Amino acid sequence: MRSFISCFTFLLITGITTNLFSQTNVEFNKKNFPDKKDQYKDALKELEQGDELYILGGGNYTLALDHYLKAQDFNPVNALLNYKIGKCYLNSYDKVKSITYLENAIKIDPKVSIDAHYLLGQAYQLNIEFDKAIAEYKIFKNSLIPKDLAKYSKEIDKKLTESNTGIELVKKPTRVFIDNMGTNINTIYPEYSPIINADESVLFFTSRRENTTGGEKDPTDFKYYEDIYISYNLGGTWNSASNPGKPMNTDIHDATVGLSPDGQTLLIYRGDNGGDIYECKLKGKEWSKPEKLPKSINTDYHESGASFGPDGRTLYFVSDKPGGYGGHDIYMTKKNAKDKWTEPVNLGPVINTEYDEEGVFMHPDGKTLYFSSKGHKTMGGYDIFKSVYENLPTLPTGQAGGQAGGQAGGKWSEPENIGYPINTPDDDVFFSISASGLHGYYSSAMAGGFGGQDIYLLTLLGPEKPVISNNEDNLLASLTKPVSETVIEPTVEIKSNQLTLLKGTIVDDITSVPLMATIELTDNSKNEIIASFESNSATGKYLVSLPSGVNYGIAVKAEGYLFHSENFDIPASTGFNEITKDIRMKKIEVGNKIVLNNIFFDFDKATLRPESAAELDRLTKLLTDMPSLKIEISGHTDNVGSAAYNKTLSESRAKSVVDYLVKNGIDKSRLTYAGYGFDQPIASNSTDEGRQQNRRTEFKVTSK
Amino acid sequence: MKKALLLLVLLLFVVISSRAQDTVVAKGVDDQKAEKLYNEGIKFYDNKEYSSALAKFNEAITLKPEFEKAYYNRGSVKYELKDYSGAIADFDKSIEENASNDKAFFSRGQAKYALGNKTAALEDYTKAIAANAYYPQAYYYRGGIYFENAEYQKAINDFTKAINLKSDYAYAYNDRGSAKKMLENYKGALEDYVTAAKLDTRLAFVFNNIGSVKKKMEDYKGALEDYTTALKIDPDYYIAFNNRGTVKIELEDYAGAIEDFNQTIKLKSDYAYAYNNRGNAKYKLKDYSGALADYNQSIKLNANYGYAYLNRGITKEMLRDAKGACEDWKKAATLGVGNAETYSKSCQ
Repeated sequence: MRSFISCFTFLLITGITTNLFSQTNVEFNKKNFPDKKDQYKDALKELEQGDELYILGGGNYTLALDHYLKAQDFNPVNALLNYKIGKCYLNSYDKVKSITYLENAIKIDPKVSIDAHYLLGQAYQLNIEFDKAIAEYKIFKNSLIPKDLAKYSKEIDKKLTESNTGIELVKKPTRVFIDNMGTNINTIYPEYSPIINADESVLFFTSRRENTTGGEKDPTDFKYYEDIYISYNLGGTWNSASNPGKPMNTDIHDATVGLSPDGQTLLIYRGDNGGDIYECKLKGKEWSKPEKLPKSINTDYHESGASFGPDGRTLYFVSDKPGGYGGHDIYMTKKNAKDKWTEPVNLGPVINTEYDEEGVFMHPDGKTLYFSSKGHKTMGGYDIFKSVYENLPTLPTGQAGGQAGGQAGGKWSEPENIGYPINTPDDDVFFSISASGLHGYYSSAMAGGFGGQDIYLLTLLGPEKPVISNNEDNLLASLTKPVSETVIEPTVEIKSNQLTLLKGTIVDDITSVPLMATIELTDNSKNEIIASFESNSATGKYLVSLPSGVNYGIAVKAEGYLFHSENFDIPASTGFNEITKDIRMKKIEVGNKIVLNNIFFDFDKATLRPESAAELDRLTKLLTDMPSLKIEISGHTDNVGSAAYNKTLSESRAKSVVDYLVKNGIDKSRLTYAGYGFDQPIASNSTDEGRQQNRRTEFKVTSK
Repeated sequence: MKKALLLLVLLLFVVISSRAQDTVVAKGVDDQKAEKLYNEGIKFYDNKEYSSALAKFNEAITLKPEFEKAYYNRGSVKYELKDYSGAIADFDKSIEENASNDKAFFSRGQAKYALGNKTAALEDYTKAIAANAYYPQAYYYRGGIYFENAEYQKAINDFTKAINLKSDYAYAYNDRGSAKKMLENYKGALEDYVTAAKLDTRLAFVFNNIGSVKKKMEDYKGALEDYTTALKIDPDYYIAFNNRGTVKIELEDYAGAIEDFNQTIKLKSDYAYAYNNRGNAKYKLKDYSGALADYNQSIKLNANYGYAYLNRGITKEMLRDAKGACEDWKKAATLGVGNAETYSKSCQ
């Protein structure tokens, strides 16, 4: 009975549709509308106005729609008009609306246009109907004459591959919560290109809204010029985004492209000179006037995306200059010892394809690169990919290592599609991710937003976490008590980003006034300065990203103050950590003392280890710069062992430091040394951590 | 539950038939009063009138204190009356009179096992075997203790000896299968279980075990059928319902799984596993709040149930309760769940 009914219903439906479209194509010809002359005239006028815009293409497709839809109301069974409306929608924000019109066009007249099936295939692909898309692409391919086939087959085959990739990706979606960031960030206007700093305390994005600087619209697409907006995370909520105005923004397009992990240096895109990258710095509370990056980076071609490495001395950027692998490619450049950007290097064929690469984002871990590409395994348009720069296990000596993705000594992993639903068949560009790797930020025009593209927060859940069941069996016939089955937990790989975020505030020890200080990172094992950063002069805030695998010596310096020294030895496999360390700087005054955390001795000996060189050189420089300064170097131990032994050890260690300084040209008369054993602990001797802190070298100002 | 009782009855039968010693022939010269009382005692014993049997054996022993068989039988009666210490004393006496009494060693082993003294029980089974190398039950029970001590290879050796001496020993096949399963020899286990099922087609737990080893071998459809067979034999076998529900989860028949866990809970309302597992089926159906309620109940029944905390954390994550998820994972990690340790690393 049921099958009879559905059979009947089927006939009914097909009956109706056949009726509707069995009417052959109705041309816009007055003969066809003898009773509606006036309406026909109006419709024809709309049609013509629409055609004028349609021919111009680009943003005009959307404008043409207004006219075409009026003509369509008058005559819905014109194949060509349906086709054109479909094509306009395909080039608008409402791309999937094209499906109905293209389907109608083909039903009314299968030969309406040679590419109708191709466009319909694209519309299906965009609507995640990959099977239908594949069918349409095949129809289109089969309809081509050999000459056209030769010309288009590569393009069609790419679409087919994309659709097949789409089927795969949709089957195994990325586990993620996607939340609209709300009205403090998003408006009815487009918002896109969000960039988060490492600890997610500040968000920059681009918007085309009413209060754009200058208040003008771009004549090519009739939308407000792009401006950069800023929102701060205040105790877990994002405040209402503000337009920082001039000089960061100008009267024309200003777009966000990159940000340093500490959120104090912004990279901006401006359209001049074929598209160039600018740098803008936060000085206290004010943003500096953006400065164009040098010519080695900005060519006459289109430089669009850019991102800093965590050292601030490495820059990844996008350019379509000749000599690449095709379209836009990603390049890298490093600053040399004189702070000049060196000649950029193409990241090579693992990253760059013959198609466009865009929207580059280097994670604060210095080795995970996110970028968008129309090549690789995309499911359509740009998709976001991820590649990790892996150092080779053994580095030949003298060859610069891969910190922040150098070219020597390592390689990029095969780019991995970050998956659906973050990636869609449409263009997915500009993605940034927090240092913890738990949150991503991107823009999407998905339904349910406030209008145009909106910015969304992604909560990345990682691979599926399997739930585990438990069972019992009566394994022994002689026992009534059942035995629980041993559970073998499925292995779950949770990749933690391998970096430590160190952040805090730098203030004067006495007045607590925020200080602008320089934070110098040294690789103690190489005695090499990796990077230097500044704390903000208005807030004293600083943030540095420390990729795992380095013994970091950290020296904080400010004019008129004793330098502050910290040591972080972070083994290569260490996962994500966030450390807050507020630093109180001590003035160079008699009696002030500081701990030299980067002086290391051999176990139970007074021999200075080579890792101490950077700290010792800092000390030497301080004494050279201030020739009247006299200091005491003191050694301290924990309370393990006898007092006499510790006193001797600490004294001979202090003497070793003094000997080093004397050998490096500091007058003996300015230096004294003392060993205090465990008489002056700064922490409890009952914990490992405390004892570690107590084993230390200090210096004290004895005369200025 | 009914199945378990039946099992117990069957077991006792095996034990008794091996224990009851023959009546003695009252012969000739004296009036043989002790022997007569002894024989009366056996009749009561056979009729399961243990108190009366005890009285007769007591009298027989009073008359004839060196009456070894009377001690043995009184020990057996005391065992039935759950006076295990008393039983052991009588078996001791029996062994004192007759140091090669294999049955007395065996029965004393049973009594010691009943008192929870596995080591001593194992020694007695070994002595029983020393007295009689052709004693399948002694091997079988010793194998069981090895199994409980996780000495699976030794258990297999003993079960094999029991089987060699008694080729239709279904229990020994079953238990050897279980020992092989513990050693991850699933193919061998399956063969043994199947033999056990052929030897005795009424044993629901054997079919359950066949199902569980097939589950280990990821033959979920096969497992499903075997659990169903077990449930046909014993419709109240909650363990098989719980197990069938779990393979239904593997087969992605989540609604069917929930049905089975409902049955499990109906039969055993305090079964924490069933609530946890039903929670998993609901989780798979994305019924996160339903799953949460089940995990809550599971944890209420067993506050140290690590996996229930793990699963509840996973569910809370999907319910956007990141803080609650982290608390649960941390708790699960303290209870030894490795994955929970991994998950809690990303907790802020």
